[in-house]
Amino acid sequence: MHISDGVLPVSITIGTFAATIALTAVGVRKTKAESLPKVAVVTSAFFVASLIHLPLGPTSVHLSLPGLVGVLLGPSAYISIVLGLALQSLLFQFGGITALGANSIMMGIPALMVGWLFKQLKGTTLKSHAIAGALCGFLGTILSVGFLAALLYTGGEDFLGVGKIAFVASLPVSIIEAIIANFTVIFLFKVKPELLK
Amino acid sequence: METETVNTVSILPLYRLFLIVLAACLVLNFYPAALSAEEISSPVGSDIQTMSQDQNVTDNCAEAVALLKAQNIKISQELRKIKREIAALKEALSKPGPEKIFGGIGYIMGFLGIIFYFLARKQSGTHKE
Repeated sequence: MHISDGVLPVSITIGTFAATIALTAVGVRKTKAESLPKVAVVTSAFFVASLIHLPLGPTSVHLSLPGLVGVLLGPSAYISIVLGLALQSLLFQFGGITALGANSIMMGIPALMVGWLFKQLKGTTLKSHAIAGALCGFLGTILSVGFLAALLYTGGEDFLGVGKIAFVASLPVSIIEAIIANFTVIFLFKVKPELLK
Repeated sequence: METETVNTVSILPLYRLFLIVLAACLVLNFYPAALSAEEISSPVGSDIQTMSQDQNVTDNCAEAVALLKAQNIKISQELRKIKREIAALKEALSKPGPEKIFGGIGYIMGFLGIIFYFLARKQSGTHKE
């Protein structure tokens, strides 16, 4: 689920870059110095997660974890996503450098949305945290599929066609990511609940 | 003294498991680079050389043509094999190795670490202007 170079029109590429810069600036403003180590660790996890391929019939899909990043980082999630995607495209050739803005929008905005949603839903008990975590992990990927289809639509693709294919392909990943987010949230709630505040 | 022995014994299976996993990883890592027994016993083109050594025995033109055709088939088979190997090699090369993964993690930690360092300096007020 990465957009490559030359797929999107120039105007969209520039627009997404501008939006990415703005959102990163907002993210930097909202990030406290104390939470930087957390951002670093979550970014590393996000960066490496895309290498974990899950066999799925004839093809394979990989984790992307926007939901978990959003849950753990909240408003700082966008910095983490931009940094992780920039290094992925430089080192692993996942997605193009010129499409970095679009890719960041595709993963980052769902992460921000999910972060907000988690804050609203988490409640105070372990159970509500666990349910909110799973839901956010699931929604992170699903929403990023929506953004992917919308971005490819600007490149001349059929919105519903791409959306359907991407949705079906990412459904198993979303479920796996929901489970991962669920376990992570339960573990953190028991071990270090401050991280979820 | 006794507790020490107990500790060693309890760790040993884990250590063995680690060694087994490490060995398996090493074998898997070097597997594509190793040649199979078949490839060592009959290197590329050896069949064709033996075929062309027989060529001076043949006087008949039709026989020579048949021989050439057989050689062509052999060569195209070998070429196909080599092409497959090149494709497999390309795929293996395009996969990021451990150096890139750890390098990337290092970049992230280092980058955010530098920011953290400057912020910490600012907050603790150690830098005097």
